[in-house]
Amino acid sequence: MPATRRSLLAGLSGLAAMPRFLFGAAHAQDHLLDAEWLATAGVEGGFAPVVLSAGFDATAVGKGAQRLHWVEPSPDGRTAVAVARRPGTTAVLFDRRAGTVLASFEPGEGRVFSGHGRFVEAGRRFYAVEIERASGQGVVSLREVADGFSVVAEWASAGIGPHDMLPGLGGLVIANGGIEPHTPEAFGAEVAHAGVAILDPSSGQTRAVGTLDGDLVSLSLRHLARAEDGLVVVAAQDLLNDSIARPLVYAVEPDGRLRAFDAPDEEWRGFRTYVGSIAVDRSGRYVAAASPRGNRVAIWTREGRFLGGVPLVDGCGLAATHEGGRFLATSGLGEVILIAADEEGVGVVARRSGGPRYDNHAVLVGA
Amino acid sequence: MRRSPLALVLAFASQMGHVAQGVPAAAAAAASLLTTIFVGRADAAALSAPEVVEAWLLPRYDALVAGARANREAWTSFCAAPSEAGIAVLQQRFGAVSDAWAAVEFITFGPVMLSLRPDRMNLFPERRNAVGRSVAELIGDPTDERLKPERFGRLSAAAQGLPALERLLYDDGAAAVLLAGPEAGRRCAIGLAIATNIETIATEVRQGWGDRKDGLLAQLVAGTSDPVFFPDPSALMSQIVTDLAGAYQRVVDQRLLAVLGKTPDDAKPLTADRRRSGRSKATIVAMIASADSLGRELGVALDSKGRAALDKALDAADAAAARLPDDIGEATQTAPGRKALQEAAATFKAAQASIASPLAAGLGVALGFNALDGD
Repeated sequence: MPATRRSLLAGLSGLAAMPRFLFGAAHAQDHLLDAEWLATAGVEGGFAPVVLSAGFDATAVGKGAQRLHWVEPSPDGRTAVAVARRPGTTAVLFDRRAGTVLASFEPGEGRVFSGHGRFVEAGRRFYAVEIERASGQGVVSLREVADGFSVVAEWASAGIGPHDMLPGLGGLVIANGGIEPHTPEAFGAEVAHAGVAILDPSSGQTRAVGTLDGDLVSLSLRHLARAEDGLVVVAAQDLLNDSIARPLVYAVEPDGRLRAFDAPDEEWRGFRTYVGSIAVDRSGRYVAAASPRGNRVAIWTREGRFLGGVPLVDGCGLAATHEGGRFLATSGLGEVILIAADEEGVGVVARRSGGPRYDNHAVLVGA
Repeated sequence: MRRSPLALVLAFASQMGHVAQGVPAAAAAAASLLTTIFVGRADAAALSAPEVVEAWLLPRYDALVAGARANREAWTSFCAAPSEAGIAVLQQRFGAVSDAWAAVEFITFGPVMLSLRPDRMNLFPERRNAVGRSVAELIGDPTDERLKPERFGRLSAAAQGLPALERLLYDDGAAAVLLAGPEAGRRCAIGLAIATNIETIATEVRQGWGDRKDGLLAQLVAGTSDPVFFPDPSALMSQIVTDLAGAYQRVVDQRLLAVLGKTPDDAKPLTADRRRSGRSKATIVAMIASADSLGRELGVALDSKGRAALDKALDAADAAAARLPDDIGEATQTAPGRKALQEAAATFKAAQASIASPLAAGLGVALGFNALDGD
């Protein structure tokens, strides 16, 4: 569905409190020129994209009524798209330097956004993940940014309940989460019907679908991250709370097969069935996963060897930094920590408190 | 020998007995905000987060410890001389400790957050009959090795806590096989192991908090941050308010809507919390009453208008809990029952909203996202 004037207006009305100019120009310049990360957060009276400086100063960018989830920076760093989380129906493109709303768009009729989307083709186009309200079937819409995010193509996501997606493994990788854990709908369900699909980026044809079997079918595969050299990892949440330790982090092989990361059982149990985000560091050497339920961020080598973890109460947002072996993590209590990892272990090397209540995700600008 | 900075951090952490964690200067700086007093308006009382812990939380943990101790003592007595009267005592003690846990279940900060204590105390919502399978497997084990306290706390969480104890006391025919027969001794030993474990967990949590002179509370009062529990002590009030909002959400999402289903056909009456012991309503009442009391404790820092609005929402929640049908699962099967549950859920949702505003807004604290959010 093209982004019509109606949908644009509808989208903007969802961001009722968002002014045309999101912040003073000078103020914006001060913060945004040195922006390192983007995140979303709860702010007084609503929800907003947030810009984080190298010193962890947080600046909210406008405010809306819908809870946002992921912010996708454009490859040139000048703009970003913030996407509402399910059952939201608003995504907004904003200019990070001028602080203006440039466009807003909605999912197709009868659908909601999953909360994730990605720029491709040097920022010319944008993939949005959409879910059919009634059936849960997933749709990936490819949109033309310069044409008000009009839809160029729509493809089935090859699964239900898609959540995250990214270009990788020579195609488009989609985490079809199936049944979402921690919802009333999930109560009593034991099979998530989740999978990781790899689509052909030109035709949308399904190249491969990786699924888990046996005792792992209760895992909902929800979040993805990648390294420049091709590594793709996926993080899971467990429908079951039966005290069984199940691996919640996997590498996605080019043929779709899922390779479990290793960790002691008590570490997996310590996540309390829930990994909320995953990230790969700048070097591609380390993978981090955050569990706000377990109040913990853990780190592995790319091969899946467990290195250790640090506590972070209600911590979920995770991003690489420009330095290898470092991760930024944010919490719902306004904390930001910088985590360092090497082959021998993991530790917190900087901390900043007093920020806004960060939501589930953070992302490095210009990665 | 070359040691990386991280290795040194890890060595430090191992001395502390928990996970690796640096304590940079920023955390110490944050501690200076510790004495922050929350007060809404001129006609409102001052409120400090450590005082809320001391005045509201710790007495409830004391009650949990006392209930857990009485429960363990009852099992000790029963196992020495099983009797029908003893079963009644065990059931009464179970109800007391179950309610005492419901009163603090929604508190996620402090010592309770380590060692999987919430799951080990009360694995809920239970899936795949995990508790039933664990208990059956323990009953079938002829050795006592795993029942020793040092081993028992490391077993599956499903075997360790209140749901497992509920099975031993309330499963069909449970009382009879606890009193006599080939499994009686074994079941008694398992019950005692669980009761001992519950007391241990409750005691660890309470002792971790300490008092104004020693332990975590003393640290908070003195303005010292803790690298694991309170790296930013100034966030404590935010954590309290966030957990309070989560209390209502736990009741609505897990205890009501999940059982109700969208339609009668979707209802799952067998998933009602504490259905075996007939405490599905009592558990909700205990949690709502506790949450409401915390809300009122915090509400003193609001202006009179905010306080009135908050009190109205909390009073309504208390009343809605009192009106709930006794058997939540059974109520999902009738139209009037479903209506009653839906109305209660709406009232609890309104109470949750009142925690965001006027409470959190009036206190000037951020309401964090919480672990029930998903996605």
